[in-house]
Amino acid sequence: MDFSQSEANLYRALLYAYPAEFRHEYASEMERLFADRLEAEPHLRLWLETVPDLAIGALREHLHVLIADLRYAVRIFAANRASTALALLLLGIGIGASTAMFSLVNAVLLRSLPFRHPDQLVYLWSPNTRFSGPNIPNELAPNYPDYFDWQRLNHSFSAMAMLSHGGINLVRNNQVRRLQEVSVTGSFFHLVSAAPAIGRAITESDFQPGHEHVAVLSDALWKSEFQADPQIVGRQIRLDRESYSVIGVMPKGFAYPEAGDVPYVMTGKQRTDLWLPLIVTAKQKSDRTDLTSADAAIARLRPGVSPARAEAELKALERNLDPLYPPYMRGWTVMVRSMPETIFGPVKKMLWLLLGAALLVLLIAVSNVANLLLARMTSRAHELGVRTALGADRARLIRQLLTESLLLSFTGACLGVAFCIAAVEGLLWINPGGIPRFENASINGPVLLAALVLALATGFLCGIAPALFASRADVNEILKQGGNKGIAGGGQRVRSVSIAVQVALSVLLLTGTSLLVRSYARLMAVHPGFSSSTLTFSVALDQKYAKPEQRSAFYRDFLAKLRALPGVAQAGISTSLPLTNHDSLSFLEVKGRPGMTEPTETRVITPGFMQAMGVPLLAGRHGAEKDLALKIAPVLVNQTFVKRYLNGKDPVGQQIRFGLGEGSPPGDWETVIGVVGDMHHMNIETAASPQLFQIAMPSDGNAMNFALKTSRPTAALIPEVRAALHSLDDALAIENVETMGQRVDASNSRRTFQTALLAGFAIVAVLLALAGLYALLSQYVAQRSAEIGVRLALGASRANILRLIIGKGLVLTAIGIAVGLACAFAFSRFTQEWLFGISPRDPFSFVLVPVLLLFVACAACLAPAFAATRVDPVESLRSV
Amino acid sequence: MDEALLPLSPQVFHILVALAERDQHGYGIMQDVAARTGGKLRLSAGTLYGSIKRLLAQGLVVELRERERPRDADDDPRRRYYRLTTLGRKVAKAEAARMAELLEQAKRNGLLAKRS
Repeated sequence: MDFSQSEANLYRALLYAYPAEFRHEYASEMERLFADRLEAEPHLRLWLETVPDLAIGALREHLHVLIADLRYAVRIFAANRASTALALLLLGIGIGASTAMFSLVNAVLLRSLPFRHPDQLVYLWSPNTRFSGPNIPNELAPNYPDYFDWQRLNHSFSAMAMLSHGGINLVRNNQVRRLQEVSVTGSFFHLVSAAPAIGRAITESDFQPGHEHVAVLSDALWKSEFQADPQIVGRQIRLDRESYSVIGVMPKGFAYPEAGDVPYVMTGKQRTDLWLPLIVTAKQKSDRTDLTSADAAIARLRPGVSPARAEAELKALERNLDPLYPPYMRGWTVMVRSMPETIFGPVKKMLWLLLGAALLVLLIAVSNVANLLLARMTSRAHELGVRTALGADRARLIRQLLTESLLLSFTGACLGVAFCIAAVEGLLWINPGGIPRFENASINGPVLLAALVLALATGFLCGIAPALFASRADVNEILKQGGNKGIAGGGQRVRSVSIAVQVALSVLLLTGTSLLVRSYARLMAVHPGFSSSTLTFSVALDQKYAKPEQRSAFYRDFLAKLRALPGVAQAGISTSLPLTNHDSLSFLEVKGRPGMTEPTETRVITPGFMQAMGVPLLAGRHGAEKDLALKIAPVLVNQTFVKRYLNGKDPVGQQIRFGLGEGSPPGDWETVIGVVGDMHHMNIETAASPQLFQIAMPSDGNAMNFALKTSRPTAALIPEVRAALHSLDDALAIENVETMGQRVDASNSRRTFQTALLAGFAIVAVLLALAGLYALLSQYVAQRSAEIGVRLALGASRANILRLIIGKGLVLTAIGIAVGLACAFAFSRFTQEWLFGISPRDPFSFVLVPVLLLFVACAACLAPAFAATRVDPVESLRSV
Repeated sequence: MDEALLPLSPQVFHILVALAERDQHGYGIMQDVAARTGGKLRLSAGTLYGSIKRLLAQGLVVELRERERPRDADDDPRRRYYRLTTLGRKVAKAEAARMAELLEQAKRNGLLAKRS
C-alpha cells in the first residue's frame, strides 16, 4: 500500500508536465484513474504504458495551447497592423544588423584557419635592436644563415619553412598575365598540413639542381587560366620566359598566404596564385656579410611548447650566432608570434566593436518594441481583465503574452535573416580590403543559430515587461474603470525608464561614433604630400635583363615612350612608392654631423618623378636629365630630413653618404641639390619620416614603379601604356595600376569601413530612440487628455501645457544623456587606438552630442505637446 | 455540422460508443473500450482526457452535475461522469452510418464474407 501511495505521488508529480489549465481540469480525475489501475493491473506494465503516454499527451496538450495562443496572437496582430508592422521592422533591423555583424565575426575570428592545429603555427621574426623607429617594423624575416642554423639547432619546432612573395609573368596564347607567386621551402605544405586537390605539393625532392622548375597552382588560377583542366598535372607553363612543370593544384579553400596573413607582404585583396620552390644558394645559407632573407619564416611548435618558450630558446641560439656577423651588422634578436594572432589580431577589437554596436541597436529596438507592446496592454486591459475574471491565472496570461512576443520576434528574425542576407551580399561587394578572410562571410549554420538565439532572447526581453505588468493588473480596478488605469500607470513608469535607457545607449553609441568620425575627418584633412590624381603602376623585369646596364637601358627607353604618350605631362621612376608596404632603409652620414642617422628611407628616382607625383619643391632644384650622366648621383631630401639632420644649415649643397653602420665601408659623398615636401609613406596616419632621393636611372632590383601626371582617365591611358611596353618587350606586364588617390583610399579602407558602419548604427540608434520618445509622449497625451482638459478649464495657459509635455520628454532625455555620457566617459579609453588627432575625451564629442540630442529630442516632443494644447476642455471633461 | 466532424478517430468513436450505452466516468470508459475490443485497444489516460476535453469543447459530451450522477455512482468526488449530448449522438450515428456504408462497399467488392 505504501508503495502504491508513493507511485501515486510520483504520478501526481509527473502530471505537472501538462499545461496548468489541463491539469486543473483533469489532474485529480487522472490520479483517481491511475489509482484504480494500480489496483487492477501489473505495476510495471502500467508504468511502461503511462510514461510515454504522459510525454506524448503533455506535448500534445502544450501544442494545442500553443496553436490556440498563436491563433489568438495572429488575430491581435491583424487588428493592430500598423504597430505590428513597426515592431517587425524594428526587430528585423536589429536582428538583421546583429546577425550580419556576427557573420563577419564568425568568418574572420571564430572560424579557425583551415590548417591542422593552427594554434601550433607561429611566425619567426628577427628584429634588429639597432634599427628602431616608426617606419621600421619588427616583423623582419630572419637572415638565411640564422634561419638555417635555428632549423638545425632548435628543439621547439617540429618543422620550419620560409616563404617569399613576388610577381611573375605567365605567358599564354601571346597574352601576359601578372601573377602573385609565393616561393616556399620544402617543408611548407607539410607544415601547414595542406594537401593538393590534384597532383602533389612541393617537397624536398624538388630542390635538386635541375628539378626546381615546378609549380603548384591555386584553385582560382587553375579555373580562370586553365579552365579547370583535369589533365593539368604534368603540363608545361611559361613563367618569366622559362618553362615550369605543373605538379599540383591546391583545393579551393587554400590560398595561403593571402593579403594580411604576413605583415607588410601582400596588399589589398591579393591572394597567392601559385607556389614555386624557394631556391637558397649555399652561399646565402652561410654568408653573414651579405644580408639576404625571404619574406617570412613560419614554424610548427612541438606539442606543449608555448611561443614564449620557443622564443626564449631561439633568442639563446641567436646570442651565439649574432657575433658571427661583422660588427656593424650585429644586433639581431628573435620574436616568435602566434600565426592566428598575427593574422586576426589587428582586426579583432574592431570586429567585436562593430558587433557590440549592432547589439546596442538591437537592444534599443527591443526596448522600443517592449514599449509598443506595453502601450498596447493599455488598450487590452479590458480583455485581460475579463480573461482573469473568467479564471485564467497569472501564469496563463504570461504564457499567452510571451507567445505573442515570441511570434513577433521570430517573424522579426525571419525578416532580419532576409535583411542579413542582403547585408552580407552588400558587405562582400563592398569588401574594403585589409580585413583577412573577409570574403568568407556567409550565412551558414552558426549564423542562423545566432539569429535563432537572438529571436528567443528578444522575444523574452520584449514580452516579459508587458506580460508581468498585465498579469499583475488588478482585475476589479480594470473592470470597474472599463479601461486604463490598472495597467497604464505602471506601464508608463517602465516605459519612461526604458526611454531613458534608450537615450543613454544612443548617447554611448553616438559619442563613440563622433570620436571616430572626427578622427576620420582629421585623417581626410591630412595632405598625403602627393597629388591624388597621379597614375602609378609597376613593371617587373625578368632574367633577360640580368645586367644593370640592360635594366637601366630598358627603363630609359620605356620612360621616353611614356613621355611621348598624348596627355602625359610628367613621367618618372622610383624604386619605392608611398603606401605600397615597400621600403628601403639605409644608415646615412651627414658631413659635419657626428655619427650615423637613424635608418632612413632612401629611394632612387629619375628626373620628373617628383613633378609627376605633384610633390612641391621647397628649395634648390629638381633633378634634371643632365644629372643622370653624373658619376656620383646628386640627391634630394625632404622637409623632415632637413629638420631632423640639417638643423639650421642651408640644405642645398650639403653632403651625405651611405654606410651600413659604425665601421662599415662608406659610400661616396653625394650633394643635396634640392628640398622637397614630405610624402606619407607607411600610411596617412603615420607622420612622414626623413627621406633621401638619389637622382639616377635605376639599375638594381627587378621591379620598378612609374608615376605619370596626366589629365586623361586611367582606362583610356593604360592600353597605350601597355602598347608602349609591348613595343619594347611583349613578354612583360604592367601591374598594380592605381592612382595615388586609390592607394590612399585602400590605405584608409579599414578605418573607412569601421567608421561608416558605426555611423550607420549610431544614426539608426538615435532615430529609434527618438521615435520611442515621440510614441511615449503621444500616448501620454492621449491618456492624460482628461487631466489636461481639467487643467485648461481651470485656467492653465497653453504655454503651461506645452511646458508640461516638453518638460517630461526633456527630463527623460536629460537623464538618459547623463547616464550615457558617464558610460561613454568610462569606455572612452577603449577607443584610444582608433583615434587620430583627437583625445579620447574630445570635448566636441562630449558636449556637442548631448546638445544636439537635446535639440532633436525637443523636436520629437513638439508634436505631442502641440496636440496636448489642442485638447478641447469641454470634450475631454465630458468623456471623463 | 455533425457531418463536418467526420471521420472520427477510432479512439473518439470508441468513447462515444461507450457513452452511448450509459453515462460513465473516465475509468469506466477505458474499461468498456478494452472489454469491447478484447483488450486490443487500450485508451491511455492522456488520450482519454485529451479527447474528452475536445469533445466537451465541441459539445459532443457534457459533464454531469452532482445530482445527475447515476444512482450506482462511485462516491469519490474526484470521479466525473460524462454523457453523450444530442449532437454527440447524431455525430456518432453519422460516423456509424459512414462506417456501415464503407462495410457494405467492402462486402460488395468481395472483401468481406456475407453473413449466412
